[in-house]
Amino acid sequence: MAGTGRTLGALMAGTAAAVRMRRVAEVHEFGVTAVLVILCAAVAVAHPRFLAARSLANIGQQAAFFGIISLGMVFLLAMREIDLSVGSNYALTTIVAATLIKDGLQPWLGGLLAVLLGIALGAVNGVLANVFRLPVIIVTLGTLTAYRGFGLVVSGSVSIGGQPVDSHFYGWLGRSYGKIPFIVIVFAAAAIVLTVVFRASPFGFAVRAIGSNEEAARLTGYPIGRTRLLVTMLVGGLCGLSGALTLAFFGAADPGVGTGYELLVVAAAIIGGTSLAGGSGSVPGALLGALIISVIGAGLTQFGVSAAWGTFVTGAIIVTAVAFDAFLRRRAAARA
Amino acid sequence: MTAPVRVEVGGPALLEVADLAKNYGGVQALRGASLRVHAGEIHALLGENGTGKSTLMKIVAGVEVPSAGTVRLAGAQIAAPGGPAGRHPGIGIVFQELSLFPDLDVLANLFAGREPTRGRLVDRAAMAHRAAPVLARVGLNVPLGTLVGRLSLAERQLVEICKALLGDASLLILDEPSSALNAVESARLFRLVRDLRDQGVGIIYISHRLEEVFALADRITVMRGGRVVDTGLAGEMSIPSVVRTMLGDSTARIEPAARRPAPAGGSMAVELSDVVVPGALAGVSLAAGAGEVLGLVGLDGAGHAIVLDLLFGTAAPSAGQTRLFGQPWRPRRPRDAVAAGVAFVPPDRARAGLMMLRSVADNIAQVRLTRSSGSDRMVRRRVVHQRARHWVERLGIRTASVGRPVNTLSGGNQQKVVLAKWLEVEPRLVLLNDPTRGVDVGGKADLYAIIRDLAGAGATVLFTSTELAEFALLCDRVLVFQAGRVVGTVTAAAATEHVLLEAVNTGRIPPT
Repeated sequence: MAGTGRTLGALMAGTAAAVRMRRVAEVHEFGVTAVLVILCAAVAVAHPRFLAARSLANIGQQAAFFGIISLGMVFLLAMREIDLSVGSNYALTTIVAATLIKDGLQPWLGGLLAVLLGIALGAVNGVLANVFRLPVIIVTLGTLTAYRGFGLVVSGSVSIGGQPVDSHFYGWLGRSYGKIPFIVIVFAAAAIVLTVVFRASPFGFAVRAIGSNEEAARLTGYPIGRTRLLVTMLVGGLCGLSGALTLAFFGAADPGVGTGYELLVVAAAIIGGTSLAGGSGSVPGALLGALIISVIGAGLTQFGVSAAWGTFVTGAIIVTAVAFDAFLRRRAAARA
Repeated sequence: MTAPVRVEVGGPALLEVADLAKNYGGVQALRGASLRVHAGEIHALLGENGTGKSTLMKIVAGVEVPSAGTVRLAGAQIAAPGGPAGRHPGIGIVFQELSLFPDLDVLANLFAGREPTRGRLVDRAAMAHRAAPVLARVGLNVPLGTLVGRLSLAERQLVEICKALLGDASLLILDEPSSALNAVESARLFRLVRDLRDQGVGIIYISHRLEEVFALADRITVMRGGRVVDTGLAGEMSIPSVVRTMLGDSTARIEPAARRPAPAGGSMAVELSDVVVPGALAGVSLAAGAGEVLGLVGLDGAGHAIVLDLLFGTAAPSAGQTRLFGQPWRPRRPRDAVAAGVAFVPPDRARAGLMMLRSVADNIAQVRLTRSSGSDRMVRRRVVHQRARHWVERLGIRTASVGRPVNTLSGGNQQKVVLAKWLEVEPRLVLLNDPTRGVDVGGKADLYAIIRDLAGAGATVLFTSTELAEFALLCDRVLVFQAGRVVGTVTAAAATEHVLLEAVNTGRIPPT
């Protein structure tokens, strides 16, 4: 409602300190960090070994497999789009790379191919969305199944081994450095780079502007179709990257890998404070969100609760996070 | 105020539009429009909604590509059929429907699409540095990190203008820039527009407020049916002549309301006594009777609009008594108000009044369906369409069919749909907050007639507007608000634009 109290509100909130305060509230990293710390502390009180380096490394690794993709999903969500095909894309890149390497392809080239294939699969989503003027969620509802099916065809529905595991590809990318798994290092580095891209690059500005008001973005001259395509390619590339690192770690590819990842990936972004309403998001929040999901799973295992409960609790956390996001938005709107 | 008559400028024009045409599918929005705008002139573009003004400006701004004709800026061709669409840096435009990004802050909005970079990153320091003088020039004083979604409409409009000015534009297009502004903000805008003109900027100014146009413009061009039908110096034209040109063969349709005397005592439809809303109303008492059109006027934030929110259940009082049709009235949400027969027309129809992508029929049925009960529970398409056709005919809503999406209608016709959905439930109290914003002359006249018919049928109407001239046309009495209080009453006969402008600014009410 265009009430008349607004001018007054703008005056009251007019100090730079107030703006800074509001920005802290807007990007929810503070809250997510607190939740993560509290969760870790709660588990650690009962099971101190939870904080052992090996345990933490494992949690980080579990988070990184889908968390890397989540970093890109933040861009897509900020454009008011969702990619549901990420789990299938991730699986297909892993399967194709593993199959070709088994047949004699140089493993490093295989890893590179996984990333390129991921980008190509993402581009297919983006091109279909642009050409047929469809939301990405609708396109990927189809490619989710199509990519998965293609993966089953390539793999023959069986696990693909036979990898030359003495290659540096598996040795370097699959090991830990100072107890930190390589994929966790990649996860952190990607989070830093993409945070800067999201917040400070012209591309990040375009993404947020399009998600905030698409018609205005069109009138302003932002290249909407190209930006959407680039973001779907980014998400696809991250699927391929995570797929290549997964292959390097396990030295094998399973046709069922990544099933249900689309929900984990979106959940990590939303728990991290990215809104489904578009226009804003948080890349570091997605990293923290992925860690929270991973900690919940590991924590429940510590308490001897079945993994099925972990799925339930993850769902409950998503509902809580979304409700909290809506609550913050309403409060912000009331203050304005 | 008289418009300065400017000498005919020789040499080539700054902007030369020649025989521009544009088809959207089968619809011809422009049928050969030509226009010349010189540097250092304010050139008003007039015409009813749907005459192609906005299409013309979109082509000039490079958002759309013409089907035929050319556009030249300072001699260089910038648009032609088949050419690429693309914004030209020399042309700044403020669109009618605000084209801002609510989730981005002021600074990001100002530089949207042309962010300065250092290395590969956006340079916020450079942005702030370049924005500061422009913000000062326009008089916009908000922190640069404020999200635009949190600004008032007037502030957002100023952000739009700053955005257009930042590009060092030699031609500035303002499409209905004052439609959301109150009197003080408008005056500041006019000063700004004149300053820019004097600095040599060519300005195309689109407005439905003719008084404003004649006070401001050096030259006026009138469009009708996708063509330019008249162009000339403002000093050689008059409001009646321009209105005749705009409407074509049809005659001017606006006449003042037939007056009704202020209701004397008895049971009032709406009564407020010493009502307080924290931060908005500081003890307001007022009363309106059945069949009365009561105007509420004030500057932005004076509290007049909050009275409407209060009666509709979207603002809560902390003290005082409110009575509706003789009963104590304390709605907790709009649903309570709708059930009690209260209708509310919000100022921002695109956001709060209509489902823009749904059909005319669905929109008209909307309120009725929230109140449906018993045998009425199923939505019957045939009945919905039948009712919609009734209103389309009765209110003269111009649409190809009731199944068309509302966003295909012109602003005035959209607003009639908003009214129709409320009329459908026969409201006893109608709250109108700036109901004619962005509506053309013909559409306004229709809306005034509808509002007066409503009152004639016994409904009580509470009315606010940013356009002061409307009060005299529509209201029986006008209450003047200042800083959350009623400071006086102006009778309909005395409520001229000048009187109201002085009253809202100074609180002085002329004796009657």
